[in-house]
Amino acid sequence: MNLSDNLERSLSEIRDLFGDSKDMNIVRFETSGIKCAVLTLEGMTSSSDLSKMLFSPLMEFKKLFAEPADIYSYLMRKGLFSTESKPVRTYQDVSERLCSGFAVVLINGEKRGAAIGAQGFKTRSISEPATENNIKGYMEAFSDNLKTSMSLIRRRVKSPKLRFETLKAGKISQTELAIAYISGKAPESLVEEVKSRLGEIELDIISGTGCLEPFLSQNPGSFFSGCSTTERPDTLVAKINEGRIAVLIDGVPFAVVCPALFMENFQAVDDYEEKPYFAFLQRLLRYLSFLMAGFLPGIYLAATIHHPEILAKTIMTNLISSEEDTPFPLMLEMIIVVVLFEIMREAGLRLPKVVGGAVSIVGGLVIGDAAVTSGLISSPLLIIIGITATCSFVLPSLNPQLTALRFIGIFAGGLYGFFGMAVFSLVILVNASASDCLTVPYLSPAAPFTMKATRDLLWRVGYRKMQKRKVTVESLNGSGRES
Amino acid sequence: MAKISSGQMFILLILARIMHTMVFHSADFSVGTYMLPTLFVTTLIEAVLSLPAVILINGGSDILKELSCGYKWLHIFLRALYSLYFLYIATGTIKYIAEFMHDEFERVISPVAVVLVLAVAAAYCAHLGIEALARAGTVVFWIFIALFVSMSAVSQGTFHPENLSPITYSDFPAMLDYVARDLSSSWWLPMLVVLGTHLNGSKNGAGKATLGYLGFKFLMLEVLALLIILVLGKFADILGYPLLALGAYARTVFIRSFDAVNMFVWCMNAVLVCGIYLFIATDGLKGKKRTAGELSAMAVTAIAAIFAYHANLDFNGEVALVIKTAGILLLGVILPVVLMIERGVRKCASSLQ
Repeated sequence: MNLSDNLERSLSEIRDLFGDSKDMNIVRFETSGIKCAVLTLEGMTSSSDLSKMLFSPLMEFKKLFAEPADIYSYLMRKGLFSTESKPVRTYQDVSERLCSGFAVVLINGEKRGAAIGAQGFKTRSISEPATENNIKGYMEAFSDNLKTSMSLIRRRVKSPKLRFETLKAGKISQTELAIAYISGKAPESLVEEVKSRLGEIELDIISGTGCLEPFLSQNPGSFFSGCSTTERPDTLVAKINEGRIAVLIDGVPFAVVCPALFMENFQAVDDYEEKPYFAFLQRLLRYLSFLMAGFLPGIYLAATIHHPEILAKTIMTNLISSEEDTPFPLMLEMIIVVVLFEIMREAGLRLPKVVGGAVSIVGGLVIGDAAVTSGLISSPLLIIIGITATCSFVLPSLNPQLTALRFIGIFAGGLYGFFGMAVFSLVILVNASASDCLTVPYLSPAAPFTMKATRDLLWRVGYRKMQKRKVTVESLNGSGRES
Repeated sequence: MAKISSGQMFILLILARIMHTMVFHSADFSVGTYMLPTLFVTTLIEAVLSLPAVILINGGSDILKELSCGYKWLHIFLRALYSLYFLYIATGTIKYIAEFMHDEFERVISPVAVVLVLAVAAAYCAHLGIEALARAGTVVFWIFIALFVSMSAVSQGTFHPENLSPITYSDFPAMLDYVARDLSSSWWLPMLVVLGTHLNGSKNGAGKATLGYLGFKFLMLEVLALLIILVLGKFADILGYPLLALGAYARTVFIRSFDAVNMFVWCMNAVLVCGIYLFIATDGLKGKKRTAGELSAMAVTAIAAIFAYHANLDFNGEVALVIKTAGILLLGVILPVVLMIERGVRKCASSLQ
């Protein structure tokens, strides 16, 4: 519905639209005898900016405005109030602009309004990454403010080829999203596909990256996610430099990057700061950690319950003697300890940091030590869980999958030994092989094997070679060209 | 349509062969030096038999589609033949795995559970498509290689060259029997016909896959046969599963026996290979029909395998040998030859006109 030229009617309609919401501020003023009103939402605009950019110039302007259209024209074209000034013609426009932190100026006798960008909401300042720590390199993480996050990327790619496209998602939240990519690196078709997939979202509220991932990866039965998230601008820049596409969400200090590969979970920022051989060793450790975190409890159960013959005699006798004193069957014992571990991990995560340390004391010292000394839990099993837990902390991005793998592995190995573990592992492998995002296979460049893209798989080639071997999303898309 | 490369095709074919070889039981036939030259002969025969299918697939033909000449019923009939054949092969494979588990790991899991778990897992894998199977196959293939290398590195087995007895005239019947048996396990030919339609456009893809398969299979069987002969000798005839027994020689400070490790990898391969068979059995179906087809294939295979296990049906007996060989010849050789002849006749007729 279009704005009325009657200021009072327009204001009344807008108030109705917002249900007389108390965070709406309406400042009325008169200039050259023409009634005007400035509308803002509480906390969304900066009062000092508004007074400097809008009120002072309007009040100080000596020329008498003959017509309401003169004020509009002054606000939109002649006067320099803000880097962003947009015309508003409908009540929908007004609501959208107000919700985005604009100040809307309505003029009696004029069917158009002027939206002046004066965003001034409070956000966290740029901080260090909390979930992707590094020793060397950049120490900045994305901000809650979309514009700030975009500037963090722009600061690292000072090229006009870096493109941002904004769109809105969430029927009610109307959350602003920014698609970031490097023109010429990201295939146009992929960019269009991402836009189309984001356009399909019909959720009311976009509360975080998790809301976008299922729409971007579109792999309903997949165990792994075809998208990854990062809070580091430098990581994001490296990824979009390979032709990937990132989506930033206003209010969320994480970006979604697609397509994501399984192998990327084993890469860390510091790999690129150290010598290649050291990065190789670090990665080997991470792969080993993945296997141990996901499969060790299952293998332990399979070996001790069903296949004790595979273990060396001394290990086997030690295990048997320690298990003899415990009252529970081994599998139940394992389930109890793993569940307890997950509970403690969850408690440590949700509790305030100050109290969080207490959980580890209660968990590690009290429960762990008491359980072993009282003979409820055998110490080898506790060692296995300790190793598993430590390994799972190495790969935080795969934590949901590792937790699930651990539990399924316990049942598979505990019930059906290595047979169960084999079937379970293969099913997971085939599932991961079937996953892809934007036509890029999840296990690429290992399966399908793409020689060109192996520069950064298990080993990292040196920077001299890396600058010669360019890897793009298209080269990872093995489908039809698999080898 | 999902596409796989010639390399992936080679891996799928070789994994199917490895599956068959792994569960080889000493009761099937005696291992001896006579196998070494015979393998060369069978490989040559297989190479010749594969030519029609390879030529047609390299030429971009969808053999089944072209053979049906636009008749829907004929297409369905031909598809049904392939489906039945691969359901039979899948049943046999699952039955052998159930038997293997019963013989070697009786305490771990009951044969019925083995059959059911394998059938369900294989159907799920088949449902995820040939690309997924092919990619996973690459990983399983490298796991096999890693297993073989690591076991060789820590093996405490010693070679006994005296086990290599010279081949005599008396070995001739055994050689003929082995040729027949080896050829009866060449269902990679009908596999090639079906999977050929899923090959990507790489030049001479079917040829490369076939060449790779025949070369690798020949080398692999020669090496395994040699190892069994040199390490186990006549013990191989009484050990049940000689390849598993070979693994018993490998040991480390931590792992006393590689039996369970071998079984782990074999079972992974079993799920994958049965998944390929079920995929082939339901290939061509789309949408809901495909899911229904996969569920039916899973149920049929599971019921048939349980029945075969309890009735102790021999998938390596005389009747099975005839069924398998007839299937290979008809589906992997004769049908491609018929298509070639039909094409030739059509070409002649058009040139005469």
